[in-house]
Formats: sequence, structure tokens, C-alpha cells
Amino acid sequence: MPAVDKKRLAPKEQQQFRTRLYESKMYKKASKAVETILKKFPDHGESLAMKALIFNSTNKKTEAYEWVKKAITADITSFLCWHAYGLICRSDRNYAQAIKCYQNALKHERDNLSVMRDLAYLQIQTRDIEGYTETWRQLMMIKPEQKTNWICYAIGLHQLGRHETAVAVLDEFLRLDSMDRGDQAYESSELLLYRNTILEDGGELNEALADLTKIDEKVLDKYSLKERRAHLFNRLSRFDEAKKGWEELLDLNPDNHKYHKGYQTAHGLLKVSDSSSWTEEQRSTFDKVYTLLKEKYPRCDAVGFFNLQHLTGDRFHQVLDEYARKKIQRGVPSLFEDLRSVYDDPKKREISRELFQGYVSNLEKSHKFSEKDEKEADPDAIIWVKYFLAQHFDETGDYNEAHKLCTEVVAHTPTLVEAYLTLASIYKHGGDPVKAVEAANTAREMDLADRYLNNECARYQLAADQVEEAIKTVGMFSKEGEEPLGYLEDMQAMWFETCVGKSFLRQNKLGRAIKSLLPVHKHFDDIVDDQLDFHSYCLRKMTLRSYVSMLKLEDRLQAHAFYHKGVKPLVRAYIQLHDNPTKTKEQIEQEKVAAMPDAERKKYNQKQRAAEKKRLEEQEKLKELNKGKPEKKVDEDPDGEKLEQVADKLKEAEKYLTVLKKHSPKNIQVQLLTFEVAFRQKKPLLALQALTAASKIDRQHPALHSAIVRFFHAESQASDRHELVKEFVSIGKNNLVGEVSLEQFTRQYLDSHRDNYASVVAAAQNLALLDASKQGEATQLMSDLSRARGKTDRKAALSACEWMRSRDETAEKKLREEGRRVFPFEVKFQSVEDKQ
Amino acid sequence: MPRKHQVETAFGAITIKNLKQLEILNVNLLPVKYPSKFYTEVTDVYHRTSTFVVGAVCARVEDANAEKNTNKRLYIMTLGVLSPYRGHGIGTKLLNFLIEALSSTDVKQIYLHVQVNNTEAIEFYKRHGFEIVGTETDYYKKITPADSHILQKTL
Repeated sequence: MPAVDKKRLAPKEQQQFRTRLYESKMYKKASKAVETILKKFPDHGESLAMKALIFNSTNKKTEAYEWVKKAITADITSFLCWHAYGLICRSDRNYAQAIKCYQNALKHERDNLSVMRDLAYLQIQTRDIEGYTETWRQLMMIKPEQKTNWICYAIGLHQLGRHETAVAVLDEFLRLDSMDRGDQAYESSELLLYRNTILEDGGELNEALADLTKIDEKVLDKYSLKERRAHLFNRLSRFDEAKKGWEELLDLNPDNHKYHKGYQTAHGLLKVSDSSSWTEEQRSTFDKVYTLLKEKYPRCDAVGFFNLQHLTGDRFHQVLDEYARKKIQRGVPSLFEDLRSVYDDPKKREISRELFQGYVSNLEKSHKFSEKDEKEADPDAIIWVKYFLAQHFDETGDYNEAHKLCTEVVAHTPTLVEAYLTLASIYKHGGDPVKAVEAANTAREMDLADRYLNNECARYQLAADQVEEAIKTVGMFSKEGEEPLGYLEDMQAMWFETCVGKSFLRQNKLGRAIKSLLPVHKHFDDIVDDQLDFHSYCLRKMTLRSYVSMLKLEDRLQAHAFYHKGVKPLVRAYIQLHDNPTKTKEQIEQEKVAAMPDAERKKYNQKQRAAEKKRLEEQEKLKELNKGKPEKKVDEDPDGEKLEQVADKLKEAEKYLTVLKKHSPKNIQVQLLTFEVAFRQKKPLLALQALTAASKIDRQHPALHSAIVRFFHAESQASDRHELVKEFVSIGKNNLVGEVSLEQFTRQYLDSHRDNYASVVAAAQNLALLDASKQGEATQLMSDLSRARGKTDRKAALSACEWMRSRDETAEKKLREEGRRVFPFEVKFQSVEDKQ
Repeated sequence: MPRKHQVETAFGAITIKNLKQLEILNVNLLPVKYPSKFYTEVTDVYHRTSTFVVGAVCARVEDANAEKNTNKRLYIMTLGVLSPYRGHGIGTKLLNFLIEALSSTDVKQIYLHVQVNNTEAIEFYKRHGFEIVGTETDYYKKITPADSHILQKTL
């Protein structure tokens, strides 16, 4: 009976099949064993499946799929065959398909524990929490003696928001197994703390608080215990007890910012992150509390940090004076970085500038920070003060002043490495990327063993579009004998890939830009995939609290700044490619040949054929030479030409935008890019949706203003719109523009943004777009650089020049001259002059 | 004798990785430009405060020379401190570093060249027990005055 043959083996082969060669990763031996069985029983499904698994483990994917399909055809009711198929899909990251396979496997052998576990891990990986919870519920029913089954079921319930049941399950489990044995102390401690967080998440704050006392003895992580207690007191508004709790914790570690924030909350300073809305009373409470903390922990940086954050006016001045002197005397290079977070506040920015400029004049006069000082400062104090001010002016866009100060620092102490990096930053922001490289390279040469300096130098080289040089630079620190690019990709060095991509984007080498940026997206996919191992690992280690917070982290992974930095330029590259599709080498070749006279073409073709033959021969020779050596990976598309030839560029852009939008819907750049893509796809409703979303984020953004005008102007001229679309567009216009004409709208915008040069440029160009006769007015508006400063305005001025070039040469020339005065480092203002 | 207060300093080694810092120092401190060969040959100590370099010393031991009638002695090739940091005793520390290093050897003499008009340096060495033992005319080729004093100290 053939049907039986497919399932059953003779006893000898049965024996052979059962040897656990595959499980112990002895693939060669396993392969031999399977082949012997298959010789006698060529249709034995499970052996075929085994063969497929061996292929899969030896990285022969196509064969693996081929044989596993044969296996299933031979024995469609075998759970093992389905399980094998599932495993292969899983290793290929096709989780949806793998889940289906596991479910099929379970149809044929219900209650197979290992398949059920595998299924559950994939369910949580794909965030099918319902399915995950159900699978563990079943597992728990089948094997209640296994503790993971209970715990995972509880995790599932917790994630579903069924807190009460989750706690009940854990309680039942703890009743059966209190995990009191000494070797389980850590696991027990973690489990109890995890249970406590579920109580809190379910809103049972009082119960959670009481529970902490109950579990006190068994919990090993005493810090967590104290933190949770203080935190729960806060949530229950029992602030006196909370204060005591946080004070105790601050005694253990006064530099922990979490403790400070908790302590501030306990003092009724609820919106700790935004002190601008504090009442006078709250301000004075804060000041009192922190004056005490200052006495208690005089050397603590965190106390200083929060003082600088929340104090204003004279008190801010006073605290900053003390804080800054301490850091300057210790020569702390990161002083400016420490203060960057208070630089959002223009008043604090001014106080800080005045204070430091005061230091400069006093130090230069008398070597003292202030005239009242008795002691002279160290000779290096002046350079740290000027170094700080240079960064201040770099940040606030006054590159002339920044450059002057930084040069003075270098003249005073030419061995201060940091000063060269700041000089590089000033040049870069000021528009001279090549000078920036020179400065950064000096810094690098001053300490060749410093990887940070090396990376910074490479970063500046990329900003100056010196890609080859940058690769050489990073190569000095990558693994010896390996291509730096491949090594950096393996190390997921996204900053480098991003900067390379942006450089190619600037150079309009779009294929190479895409090629360099795609890995950033892939790294994030990899990080998401890497979770898979942790679903089982964290359970074994019982690190449940970390596990649950990891799940949350992974859910918002692509909101990370690195993803934005890398993937937004990728989207831009596809948009640019759509606007100016490039030709392939073959297309260019074909056009060239087609344009030749017949005789010449014949000759040319002959020559080409000979060259091709020679190339093939050489390839053969090379193959012969390299025989036996491991094959080197050859990049078949080094310039990304194939990537450029993707049929629907906008669809590619959309693919990545979908991810960006899912994780960061509140990011204006993401919405504006979405608009750009939809606008080009001629999808007015999607475009409108993006504009509306963007206007809710920052209504005054110059790029948004331009986009709105461009969109409604185009719509007003479109003739083929459906009535319904027209209606939606008109509603949208009412919301975004109001009941005025686009020109009036633009003038309103102009009037309220006179102080901002970049906004003026946007509005002026819109005026001319709406009505060509307004070109003169637009030119005049853009010619006034009196309020322009900083990087954004410098770029706006460049775009204004670009705009004028084809319209008004005299005005352009004048603007350039003016630009050279305001932005003396910008090479693009200089070069045209040089040419003339 | 330092005229100003002492500042916190520490010694560090010159290595192939940080030679550039010595080069920057010398360019700023010395009237003559040293060829790059000089930098590949030195391995001595430089002087730094906690975060950056403010001075350096390079010296070599020369064997006894029967022709010139000299014993084994130490020749100071370069010694300098950036001007804003002078007067804080850093040069003295550099010099003492050399003297201490010699204490367990049989080198009992230190000598060096100083351009004749460099009073600041001559004062410094005299304060530390050096004497002018001779003057070489036309010692320097590219700078004026070209004459150089030889200063020497016997330990």
C-alpha cells in the first residue's frame, strides 16, 4: 500500500531517522543518513522535509523550498512536514507564512508543544497579541507544570489590557510554585516586581503600594522597590511620603535625573518638563527646594542642571555664573553642550552671552573672572570662555564673531584639539565645507589614536562631498583587511551611510545615494527581527520588566532620529529621480549608436564585439587563476544604476513614507514629503490631507506656506477634477487659506514674517508664481539681507540667487555682493565673483 | 622661580599618534622649522595640563667624544612652553624631569644652544644653574642673529 509506505519506514530506517544528527548540527552526516533512507523510500515525506531543513541550514534557500514542497505533496497530513516548512519560512523572515504553516502542523498533531511555542513567539513578533495569549492559554492547559506557560499567558493578558486576569493567573501560579528555592531568588524577585507593575497598569495603585511591603523581603532589586514606592506615592498624591522616598533615593544617587523629576512632581511642580508655565509660587517652591539640595550635594551636576533649566532672570544668571566658573576652572570642554537645552529660551541665551563676554573683558584686563575676585584664574580660563562663546555664536548664526573668537583660541593655545573641531563647525555652517575639512583634519592629526576625531573628520569630508577621502579616513579604524564600506554596514554605522547618501544626493548621483541609504532602512528591519530571539530568552532569564519595555521600544523603533536622518533623504532621492529620470548606460549607448551613419555603426559594432570577446576571455582567465580560492563577493551594481531604473519611483518613496508616517505622524518634514509625493502622483485628496496634518504641526513653516500656495494654485488650474474632489479641495482651502485669495494669503504671511528672511523668500517666490507681473516686487523683497543670519537664511539667500539668475541678472549680482558681506564664508557667493 | 601661581599639570609621552601636537608646539615656539625627519626620531616626553599640551622637551644623550674632549652628556634639542602658560613653573618641571631621569645614570652634563638674543631663555637657564660656556658664530643658517650661545650645567 503506497499510502502507508509514504508514512512508515522499515524498522532499520526508522532507527536511522530518529538519530538526532540534524538537531546536533551535524549536517553532513545528517544529509548522508537522509539520502540512504530516501534511496529505499523516495516518497517518505518526513525524510524529504528533513532534507529540506538541511538545505536550509546550509544556506541553500531555493533547494530548501523545492524539497519542502515535495515533502508536503508527498505527505500533506504530516505535522513534521508543515513544521519544517514553517521553520524555513521563519528563517527567511516570512513570519505570516510561517504562522500559517505552524497552524497547519497543529491541525494534524494537536498539542505539539514545540510547534505551539514556536507559533506563539511568531505571534508576538507580529504583534498578534490575541493569538499569542490564546496559544499560551492552551499550552498552560496542556502542561500546567511548566512555569513559562503561566507567565507567558499572563504577559499576553497584560499586553491585552486584561490586568486583573493577568494578576489572577500569576497568583494561581505563585500558589502552586512559590519559587522559594534559593536558586530561584532572582527569578522570583523579578516576577514579583513584574506583577506589581501590572497592578499599577491596571489602576490598582493602592493595592500595588501595599503589595510592595508584602514583597519587600523577596525582592532583590532594592532600588526598584524604593523607586516604585516613591513613584506610587506620587501617583496617589501622597506627596509627603513621596518626598521622603525621593529624598532617600537622591541620597543614594543625587545625579539620577529620574529621581529629580519625581521629587519635583512631589512638590507639585507637575509639568516638570515645561517650567515656562509655572506660577510664581511654583517658582519659589522650586528655588527653595533646590537651594536645600544644593547645600546637601554641593558637587552634584544634576542639581545645577535643573537649576539652569527652571530658574529665570537674575537667579538664572547667578546659578549660571557659579556653574560655569566651576566647569571652566576644571577645563570641561562639554560646557556648551550642557547648556544647549536652555538655549531654546532667548532670554537665557542673552544672559549667557553677556555673562561670558563679561568674563572675557575681565580676564583680559586682570586675569580674573570678575573684578571682585581675589584669586587669579588659571591661564587657560580665557580659552575656555572664548571657546564657549565661539560655540554660542556658531549656534546663533553669527559666524563672523564665532570665527573671530575661535581663531583667538587657536592663537592662544594651538594645541587645543576641541577648538579645531569648533572651527570646522563654524566653516561648515557658514558655507565653506572645504575649509571645514582642513580644520577637522588638523584635529584628527593631533591624535591619530582617537576614533571620535577620525569620525568627525570623515563626517566633514562627506559634507564637502569628498566621499572617497572619507572612506579612506574611516578605513583607518575599520577592521584590517576588510573593505571599510562593508565593515561599516556590518557594524550598522548609520551616520556614515546617511552622510554618504546625502552627499550623493547633493551631487545628483541618485543611484548611489539610494544604494547608500537603503541599508539604513534595512538595519532597522534587522533590529526589529532581532527581537525574535528575545521572546524565549527573556523568559528563561525571567527579565520580564525589561522584556515588556523592549516590546514597547520596538513598537516605536522607526521613530528614532537615525531612521529619520537616513530615510528622509532616501525619499527625496526617489522624488528627485521621478522629476529627472536618468538613463541607463545601455540606453545612452543605444542612442549613440542609432545616431551614427551606417558605415560607422558597422565598424563600431565590430569593435564592440571584439572588446566583449576579450572581456569574456579575461574573465575566464581570472576564474582559472582564482580557482580554489573562496569566491569574492562582486558588487553587480556599484553605482546603483539598477536602483535608478525602478519603474515607479513615487511608489518606492511612498513605501518608506508609510513607515515614517506610522511612527512619526507629528513630524512636519514627513508630512511635507508626503505632500510632495501625493502632489506628483496627482492625488489631490492625499496631498490635501498631508497639508492639513502639517498645518496642525507648524502653521508658520515657510515650506508649508509654499506648498499650500503651490497646491491650491495648481488645483485652480486643473480642469479634470471630479465634482466631489473639487468640493473637498474647496473645504480644505477654506481651512488652510481662509476666505481670501492666494495672493492676499501670501501677503498676510509676508506681513507677519518680515523678520524672518527664509520666510520672506518663500512668500516672495509665491507672489511671482501667482502673478508673473510681481517679479520685480519679489526680487526687491529677496534682495534685502538686513535680517538674514544663520544657516537657514544663508541657504534661502542662495535659492534667491538661483531664482534671480534667469530673471534679473543685475539684481542677482547685487544680492551676491550683499551675500558675500553677510555670509563671508559661503563659497558659492565667492566663486561666481572669482569667475568674473 | 615661578612668578605666578602653580597650575595642575601632568606628563605624557610623545608617540607616533600625537606627534602633530609637538609639531604645532614647535612651530609656535621656535624660530627654526624642524624637518619632518626630526619628528620621526623623537620619543621623549611632553608636558600637558589635564586636557591639552602646553609644552614639550626633546633631548638626546650623546656619547663621550675624545676629539672634542667631552664626557657622556645630555643635549637638549628643544624645550618650550606656550607663552600664556609661562611663569607658572612648567618649564622648570620639564627641566627637572630631565635632571631626575639622569640621576641614576653616569651622564653628568647637560648642554644646549640658544640664539644670542633670546634673553628670556638665557635668563631661564641661568636661573637653573646653566652657564654660557661658549658662542658659535653662524650656528643658525636662516635666522638672524645667526650666532648661538652654548649653555651648560654640570650635575
